[in-house]
Amino acid sequence: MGADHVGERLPALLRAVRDSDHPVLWICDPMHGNTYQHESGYKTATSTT
Amino acid sequence: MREVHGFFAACDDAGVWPGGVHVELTGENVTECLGGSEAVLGDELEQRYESECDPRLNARQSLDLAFPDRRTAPPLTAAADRVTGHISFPTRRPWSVTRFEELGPNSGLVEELYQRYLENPSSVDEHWRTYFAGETPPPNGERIPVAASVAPTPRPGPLVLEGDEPAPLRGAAARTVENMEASLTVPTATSVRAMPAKLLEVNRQILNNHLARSGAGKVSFTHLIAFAVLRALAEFPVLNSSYGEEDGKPVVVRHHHVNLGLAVDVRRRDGSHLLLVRA
Repeated sequence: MGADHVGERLPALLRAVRDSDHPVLWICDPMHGNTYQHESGYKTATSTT
Repeated sequence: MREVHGFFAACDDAGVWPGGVHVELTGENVTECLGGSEAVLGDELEQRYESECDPRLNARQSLDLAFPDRRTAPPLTAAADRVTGHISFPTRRPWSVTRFEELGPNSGLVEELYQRYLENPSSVDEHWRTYFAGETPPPNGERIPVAASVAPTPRPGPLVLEGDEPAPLRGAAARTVENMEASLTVPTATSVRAMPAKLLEVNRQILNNHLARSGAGKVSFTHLIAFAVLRALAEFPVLNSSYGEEDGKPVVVRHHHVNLGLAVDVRRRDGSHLLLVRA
């Protein structure tokens, strides 16, 4: 989802699924959606932000 | 890791159970993700980028995530505390970070001391404090080049402790002394032998597995060697003696005390060797 979007998009999703009573388990995958290409060409992520 | 915090906060707000966190990580000190408490910088990515696909957190970054520093990390939300409350974190780090890799088999011990130092600097010996503070002198401030000079150094008198009896050397022993004295002026060579230590390694692993289960520390090769030396000394007490001179006459001192110190051959980054004496 990406750290920049989790605050605005996730709450609505959580509520919608919760209200549908569909059984789910929410997992956070912070390593995806937060990677970018460093200028050296390596695909990387910043662990502290 | 704003995404993790955002996830827990959103779950908390919606009253939804936060099911888990999925991360790619490794215990190796790779340089695939940036940042961390031992920050990986952008131009260091190429040093150890070993992942075939996605970047992974290295050992330190993984620990940062699992054990956030409460002084700098944003406080976890109630939801996250609920989750972490169900996890019993081991009091000891599950693996040794390879910061002290260069110390070889002692790295586990040094790492342990280092963790104690981080928690409370005054809980470790002053030598170690200096060492961990990034100063150059190792413990005891002793730096003994391995290739010691062959020139005989002025010999101090025999070390005689309470209960030790210097006994004069006569006959054949005295003749040996003469020859040994003469040999001091002859250049010497150091003999190094490789010994099979597979069994030692395997037994050490078994010991450590057991110690890990009972929450105790680790056994290093230094421990085992010291133990073996002491057992041998108990079996051959005659080895616990030293040579000296008294009134110009050669004497042998049979010691009744044992003070054991082991020096570890340490290879520095520049390739030179040092004997590191542990306190």
